[in-house]
Amino acid sequence: MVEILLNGQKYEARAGETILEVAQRVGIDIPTLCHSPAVKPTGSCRVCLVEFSVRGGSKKLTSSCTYVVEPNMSVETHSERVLKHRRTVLELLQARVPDSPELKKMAKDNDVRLEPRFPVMKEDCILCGLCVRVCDEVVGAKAIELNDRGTKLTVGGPFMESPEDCIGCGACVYVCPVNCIKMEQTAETRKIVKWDRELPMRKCETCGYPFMPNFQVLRFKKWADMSGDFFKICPDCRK
Amino acid sequence: MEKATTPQALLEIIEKHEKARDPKAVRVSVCGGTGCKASGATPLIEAFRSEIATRKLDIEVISTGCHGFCERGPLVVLHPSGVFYQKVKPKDVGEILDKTLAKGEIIPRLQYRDENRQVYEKEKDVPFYKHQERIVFAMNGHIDPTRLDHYLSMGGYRALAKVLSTRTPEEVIDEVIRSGLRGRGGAGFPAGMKWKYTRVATGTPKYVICNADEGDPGAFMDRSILEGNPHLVLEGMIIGAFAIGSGEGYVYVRNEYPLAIENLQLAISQARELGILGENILGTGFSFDVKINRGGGAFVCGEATALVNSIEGKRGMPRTRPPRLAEKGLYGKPTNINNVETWANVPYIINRGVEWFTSIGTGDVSKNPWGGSKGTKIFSLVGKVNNTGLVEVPMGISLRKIVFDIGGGIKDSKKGRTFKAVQTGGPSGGCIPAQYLDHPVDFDELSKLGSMMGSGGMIVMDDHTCMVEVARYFVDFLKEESCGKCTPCREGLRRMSEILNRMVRGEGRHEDLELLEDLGSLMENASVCGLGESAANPVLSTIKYFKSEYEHHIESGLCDGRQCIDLIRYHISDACTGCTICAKKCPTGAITGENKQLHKLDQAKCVRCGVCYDACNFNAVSILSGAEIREKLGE
Ligand SMILES: Cc1cc2nc3c(=O)[nH]c(=O)nc-3n(C[C@H](O)[C@H](O)[C@H](O)COP(=O)(O)O)c2cc1C
Ligand code: SF4
Ligand code: SF4
Ligand code: SF4
Ligand code: SF4
Ligand code: FES
Ligand code: FES
Repeated sequence: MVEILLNGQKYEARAGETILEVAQRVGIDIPTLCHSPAVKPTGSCRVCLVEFSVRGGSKKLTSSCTYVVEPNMSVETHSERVLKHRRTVLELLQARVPDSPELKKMAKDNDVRLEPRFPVMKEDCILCGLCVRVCDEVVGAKAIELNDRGTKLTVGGPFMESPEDCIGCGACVYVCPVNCIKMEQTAETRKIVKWDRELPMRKCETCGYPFMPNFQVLRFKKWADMSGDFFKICPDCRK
Repeated sequence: MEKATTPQALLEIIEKHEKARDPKAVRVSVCGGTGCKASGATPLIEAFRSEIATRKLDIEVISTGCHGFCERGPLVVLHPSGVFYQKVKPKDVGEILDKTLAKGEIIPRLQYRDENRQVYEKEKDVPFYKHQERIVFAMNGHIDPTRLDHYLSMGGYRALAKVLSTRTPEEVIDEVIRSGLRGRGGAGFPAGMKWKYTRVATGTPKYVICNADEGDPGAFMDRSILEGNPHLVLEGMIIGAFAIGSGEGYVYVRNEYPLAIENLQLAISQARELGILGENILGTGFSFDVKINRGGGAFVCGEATALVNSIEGKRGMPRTRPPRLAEKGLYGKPTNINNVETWANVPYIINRGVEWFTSIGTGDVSKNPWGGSKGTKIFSLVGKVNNTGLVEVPMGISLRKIVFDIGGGIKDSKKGRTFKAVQTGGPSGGCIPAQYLDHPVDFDELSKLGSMMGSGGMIVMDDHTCMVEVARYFVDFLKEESCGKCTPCREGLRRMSEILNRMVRGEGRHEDLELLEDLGSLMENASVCGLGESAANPVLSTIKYFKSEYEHHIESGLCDGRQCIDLIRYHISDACTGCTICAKKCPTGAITGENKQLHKLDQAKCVRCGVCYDACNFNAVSILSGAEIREKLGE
């Protein structure tokens, strides 16, 4: 157990917990974009900034989603300095991705000026990298990646081609904080629009429902060394 | 080379080589570093060797590492006299042997002349060298980096023998902490403290890494050390590994440094033969070996956590800290990274002692290793100075001494060019103005001025430099080199670049300065790694010291440095004698006029290349900007 001060209040934190985890547990709201409990944090978006000091030392900013609590730590989640920089981060992201309802709401909740002071771009992705991490750490497909660097950074399949290893599971669709990865599903195919990945669907031999892309079946069989018969009927009919 | 099996045996081998070296022997040192090779050192060395062989002379020709004064290469130093020749060609070899080596006659044509045409005979008197204090570079210029026996003959590996026979790891760490040695790779973290954290961290194996990424395009001291004296770096690493308790080391070196890689590879195999790398070194039970890892070359890969990712085969993207690399580094294990120059200082500290090392530099490190900056630092001096190259100087030296005594002052000062600023620390360093020329140069003082030690880059700028353009240039470099992971750095640099590019086109707005400062403050405070944290330095420091230049760009389209193409016009004044030289040199035919008649310049054809300005001997071509354009040209 580690005792820390969060906004002046004493709290018990478990060893190894991040500042964000403690804050969420005790009901202090810190905005996040690139964080998901399902994957390792990378501290990319910087909206979860907090100000901290250890043993009354100098105050620094850090990303609360990555910083593991230390003894004698005092953390401010909403100090003037935090709010100022958090607003600029959100302003920058808004200027990049102007049409996301999720971002707009977060900007509003954090009193970010309505009109960014920068020319507005027409991107839909904030480059938080969550899709890449989920596809790697949770799904295991490693289908997509961050490409290039600096202001040219993008996310997509290797060399920005349609990702050949994408199994169409939709985990990235689910995790994207600004909902910019769309999935289109018909009786015949499933398409992950952002990655331009279209996969024919397998139909359940019992009920006819297109329950899974064929390619996903192939990969699951390979990964799990399962018999082909298992995937002939859908999970509902299997029950 | 025989194998040493005990520290004592190693000492004996070293002593044998030291004795075998005759300091009075006649030697020809020819610089065989990358710079001099590019200007023709290889055939020159060949020419010396074959000519000496033909004449059956007893003179040793040594192909050395870089001497730092590459712009004057190929360099030749004759020992023991110390006669210094520059820009030597193979055809000069016969004459050097006939005259200088045989009769002590100097060949004026090959001598170094400074900007006042003053001639210097000996290397140690050349101003570029005279004011330096060469410790890390002491052997460059004397030894052949491919020859272990040369290194041993200069007392090489004495420090290792001493450590392995008389010191505990803790004692070594204590010595390095007390020496006040701080990391030369940029941040100036006390090396001994980092070693200590890695030593006490739990987890095995432990790794030591030498950072030879050297991503600053203007710096090349790490290349020159590795290339010119690889055993010195290895010796430092072996001592460090012993102190830390590490069995595996990596040298992360950029692929564009083939000669450094070649010489290092050779040095590693020589060290294995000598028995100081590998299993059970000198029978002490300590085992350690070194691998070379070639880096892909991005600037950000030099950042320690990105470098570790890169060795692991991952994207060169920085990790958030904590955890420290000392706790969770390469493959999640305790890891200590130091820069090439940091490692190269270690053998000297062990050999000559803490007292000697702390006598050089600033501050007091006896109670606190952050209390000062000790030892020397190598800078890569470039830009508008007469002498450019690698200079090793004691910490605490003034900028003025570096720029004016070693650098020989501002280039073209006779044509009126004056000092305006010096940027230290590489692409993300700050620009320091003339009023701080007498300021001491060390880690803390440079930070106080809004700059940093960084890579050791030092770019001198004259009055024809536009500070807004300088900021734009570095921001555009950094926006390509940022890894792009975190919002402040990626989006902050994107927006700074937009603003500054507008500004140099004369489209700046009043609110831009505040915007730049907001972005800069965000980047400094909230970025993931040192790149983003320092990337605003060129912008913030120029706003701090040269604010009026920004205001002029915004308010009246005046570029004080007369550099921003969109804000200047070339103009021929009445001082024109009609010599026709500008008209002849103008690449676009924009200048017309009869012999001995006032020439005319057609703005519509002018591409503002500046050729006429440089060509005119009568100062008749001027560069107009801001209100002058409206007054003189009525635009
Ligand atoms: C963007 C960036 C680039 C860096 N490049 C280098 C480099 O090329 N070489 C180097 O030694 N350190 C570089 N560093 C510093 C390293 O992160 C690290 O601090 C250093 O290698 C540690 O060694 P030292 O303590 O001996 O200086 C860089 C840091 C940043 C933020
Ligand atoms: S849908 Fe494709 S890219 Fe997205 S997580 Fe699944 S496998 Fe990865
Ligand atoms: S697509 Fe969505 S999840 Fe992926 S990086 Fe962009 S914003 Fe993040
Ligand atoms: S500060 Fe820049 S280089 Fe460093 S992690 Fe962030 S984006 Fe990458
Ligand atoms: S600046 Fe260049 S293009 Fe213009 S007049 Fe002079 S020489 Fe010609
Ligand atoms: S949520 Fe912590 S940095 Fe993005
Ligand atoms: S390479 Fe010869 S002086 Fe630098």
